[in-house]
Amino acid sequence: MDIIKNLIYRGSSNYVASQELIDAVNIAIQLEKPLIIRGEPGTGKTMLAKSIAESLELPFFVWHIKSTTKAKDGLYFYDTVQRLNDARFHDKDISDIKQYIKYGKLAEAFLADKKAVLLIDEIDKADIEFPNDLLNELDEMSFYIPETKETIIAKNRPIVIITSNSEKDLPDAFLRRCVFHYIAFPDYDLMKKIVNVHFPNIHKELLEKALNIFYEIRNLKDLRKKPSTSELIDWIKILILSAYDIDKITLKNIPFVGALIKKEQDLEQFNKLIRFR
Amino acid sequence: MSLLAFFYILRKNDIPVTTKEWFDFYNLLKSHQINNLDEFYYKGRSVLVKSEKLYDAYDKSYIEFTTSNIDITERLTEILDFFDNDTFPNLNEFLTDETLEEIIKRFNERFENQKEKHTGGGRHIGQKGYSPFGNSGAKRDGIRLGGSSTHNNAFYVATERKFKNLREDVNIDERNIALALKKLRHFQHIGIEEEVSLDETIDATAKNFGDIEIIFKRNRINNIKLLLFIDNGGSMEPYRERVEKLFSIAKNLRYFKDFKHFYFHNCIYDNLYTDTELWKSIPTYKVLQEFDGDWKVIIIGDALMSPYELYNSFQFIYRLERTGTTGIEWLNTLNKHFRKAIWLNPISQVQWQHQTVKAIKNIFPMFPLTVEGLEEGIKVLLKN
Repeated sequence: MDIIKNLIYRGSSNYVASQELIDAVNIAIQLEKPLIIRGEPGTGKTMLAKSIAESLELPFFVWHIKSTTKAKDGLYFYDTVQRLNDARFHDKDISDIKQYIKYGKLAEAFLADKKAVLLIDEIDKADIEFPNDLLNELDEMSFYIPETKETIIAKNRPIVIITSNSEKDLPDAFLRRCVFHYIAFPDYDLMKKIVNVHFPNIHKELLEKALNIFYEIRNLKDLRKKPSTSELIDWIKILILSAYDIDKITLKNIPFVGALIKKEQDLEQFNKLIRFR
Repeated sequence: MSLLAFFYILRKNDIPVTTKEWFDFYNLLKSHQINNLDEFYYKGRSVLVKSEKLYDAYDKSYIEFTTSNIDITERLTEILDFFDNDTFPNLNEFLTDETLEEIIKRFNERFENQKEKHTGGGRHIGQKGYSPFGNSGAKRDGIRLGGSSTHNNAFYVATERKFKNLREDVNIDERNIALALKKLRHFQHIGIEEEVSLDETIDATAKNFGDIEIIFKRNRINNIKLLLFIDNGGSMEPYRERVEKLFSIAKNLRYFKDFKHFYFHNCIYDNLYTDTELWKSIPTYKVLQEFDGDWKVIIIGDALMSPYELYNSFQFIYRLERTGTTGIEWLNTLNKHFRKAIWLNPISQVQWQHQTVKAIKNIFPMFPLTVEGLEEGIKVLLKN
C-alpha cells in the first residue's frame, strides 16, 4: 500500500481535534475509505470536514442530507423538462443530452481537478435504504449515466466524511467499508482548549468558573437536553459582552441561564435539584 | 497464539469483525501506521469497531488480549515481523537507539530471564513495566517502538471502560425491525400535486402542438394507518425492552400515513390507556368509534392470564368501570371491527399451549415477537 504523501491531517488552528480523531482521519485518507463520524450534537462533527479541507488546502463539497434525499440526488439530475422546452425552438442543439445532465455533490467531488473533501452531512436523516444505495458509488468511486452511456470515474478519490447522529443504525455492509470514529463529549481540558479557540483573551477565572458550572449542569440527572458546546460558547459570549461580575456567578445564581438550559421542564428540574445543595 | 488471536477475542466478545476489516487492520500494521500499543488500540478501533455501542466490548477485548495468559512472545514476534519486513526500509528511523535485530534479541533475552524467574508466568514482559523497545521509557503495556506517543496510555484508557454506558445488548436488531415494518405499505397517489409526470407532460405537449405543458402528479405515499395495542402488564416486564424497541421504531419511522398506540393491562377490557402508567384512560368503545376498520392493528402481549380474567366479567383485577363485557368478548369485537389485526407474542412458542393463549390465538393470527414473526404477521396484514 502506497502512503499518500503530503496528505496528513494535523488539525487546524480553528478546530480542536483529539489525537484519536486526527488518527482516524489519517487512517481514512490512507485506506481511501469514507470516515463515519458519530457523536452528540455539538461535538464538532460537521466542522471536522471543513477543517480537513482547509488545512490540506483541498476543494470542499457539502452534501446536506434531508429526509427526502435520494442516493441519485448526489450523482446527477437529467433536466428533461428543460430539454423539452428547448425542443420548441431551433436555436439550440438538443441532441446533445450532456448539456441537460446536472451533476450532484458526489459527482462534483469526483470530477474536481484536485482530490476533494466531501462531507455527507447527517446521513441518518435519509431513508433507511439510502446508505445501501450509495455502496457501490463509494466503493468504486464511479457511476454510470444511462442517458448518455457515460461512466463517471473519480479523477482522484475524494476524502469522504460522513456524519451521523446515530438515530438509526447504518447497514452493516455500509459500515464494513468505512472507518468509524465516535467523538466522545469533550472533557474539561479539551473543552478549555475549544473555548480558548473561540475566545483567545478570555479571563482565566471566568473560563474556569464557566466550565465548572457547565459540567455541573451536564452531570445533573434527568435533564432532557444537556447543554452542548455551542450553548457553552453562546453563554460565555453573553457573559463577556455583558461584563458580568465574575464573583457573583455561582451555581445558585447563574446569569442568563436560558442560554444553557433551553427546555422549560429542564429549568424546573434544575431549580429543584439545585435548591437542596 | 498470535496476533490473529485478537481477531477471535473480538469475535468472541460479539464484535462482528469481518475478514475485510481485519485486512484493513493488517494493512495499517504493514504500512507502519501503527507503531506502538497505544496506536494499536486507537487505530485498531477505528477500522475494527463500527459502533460506539461496541467500544466497551473492544475495551474488554483489548484488556484480554494484552493481559491474558497466552504466549506473548509469539504474539509480539508477529507484530515485530511486520516491522522486520524489507518493504519498510525507513523502519530504522523509528528506532533511534538500536536496530530492530538488537531489540528482538534483547526482547528474547528478557523473556528468557523472566521465564526463569516466574515459571508458568502469567504476567509478562510488558505488564511488568519493562520497556524493551524504543526510547520512551516504561509503559504499563510495554512495547513502544520509538518516539513518544501523543495518545493517552491505551491500556489505562481501556481499563477505564468509559464507553460502558453506550453499550447495548441487542438481541433484536433495530435495523431489521425497521426493514420489516417498511414492508407494511400500500402506496397510493395522494396529497398535493408536486411531482412532474414526464410521460403525461410529453403527451400533453404534443397535443398542444409543441407548446409545452407540464403535468404534475401527486406523490406516492404509504396509505397504511397503523394502530398498536401494547400489553403493559407485569408479566410483560421481561420483554419490555423488545416491545419498546418495536414501538419506538414504528413511531420514528414516520413511514405510515398515521400511527397511534394504546396500552392495556393483561387483556383488553372496557378501557384502554394512553400512557404507560395506565392513568389516562379512554373507553374502548370510543377507540372503536374513532378508528375505522381500515386501520391495521398489531396487538403485542403475552396472552397469559388466569382463565377467569378472560372469561369472567366481574373478577378481573384492574377494573374501575365495568360494563359487564368480558375480555374475550372485547377481543372478538375488536377483531370484527378491524379488518386486519394480528397478535405478536413475546413468550416462547412452547408456552402457547396455555389455555388463554390458545383461546386468543383462535381469534387473532398469532406470531412470535421476533423479526421473522413480524415479517410473517405483516404478510397477513397486507393480504386482501
